[in-house]
Amino acid sequence: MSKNEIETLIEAAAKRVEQGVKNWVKNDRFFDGFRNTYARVLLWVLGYLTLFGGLAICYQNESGIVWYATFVVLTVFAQKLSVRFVFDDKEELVDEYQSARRDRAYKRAYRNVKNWAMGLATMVLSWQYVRIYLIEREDGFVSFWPSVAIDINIDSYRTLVILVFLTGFFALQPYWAWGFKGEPWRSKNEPNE
Amino acid sequence: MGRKPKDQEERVINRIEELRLAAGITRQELADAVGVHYQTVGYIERGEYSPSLVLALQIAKVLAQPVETIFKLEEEN
Repeated sequence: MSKNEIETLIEAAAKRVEQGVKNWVKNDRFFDGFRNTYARVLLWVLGYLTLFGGLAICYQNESGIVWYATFVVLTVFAQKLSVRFVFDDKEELVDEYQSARRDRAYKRAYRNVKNWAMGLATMVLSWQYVRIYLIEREDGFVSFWPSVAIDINIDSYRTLVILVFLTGFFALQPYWAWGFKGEPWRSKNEPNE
Repeated sequence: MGRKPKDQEERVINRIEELRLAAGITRQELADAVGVHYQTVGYIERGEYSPSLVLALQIAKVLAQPVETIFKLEEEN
């Protein structure tokens, strides 16, 4: 068998595998239990519980980061299944309804991240001024625009915990913004399905 | 001139389900013929999503009907 023939065979096999994956992503019904509205609500709640609950537990106890990271990965994967990988797919796998809903989700996700970031920044900076004016004022004169020092001292373990949290937080944003409405259960009353 | 609020937008109603059943085509077959997901055909049939002009014309072609026979604005009814 010549080198060209081997290359042709490998290319054909790769194309068959790629086509198989595409067909599975588009037509899979095995995981429909992840895709209905109840499942979407449950995944939303579980996502928040895992991400913020895990952060609190791991940050306090200084243990369990492997479990935390594993649960975050599983949560993200469940979300991917739930929306048929629309945020990972190649364009040819996403039809116009999915594309429109995906674009709307990205827009919402951007707005949500912006609100979280602005909220956090406002809270941190406001607290510095509250602390200076209301708590440390007793020690005398405070200038109208006092210098603000923000010290961040976090040990390496907690830095990893925060890294896992932030990775999960940003990874889950588009899925949370996708919305609760899931694919309908296939009903016997729906004709010809 | 901007878009109307969602609740004031004209709703597109369609006869896809009726014509599809008359033609003996399943939802999956129609979806495969026009290159969309089978659930998307369901969303369109239930009026939860208005298809693009291209998709509407493709559906009309598969159902062998003029597009205006299949899709109408709700106020025309």
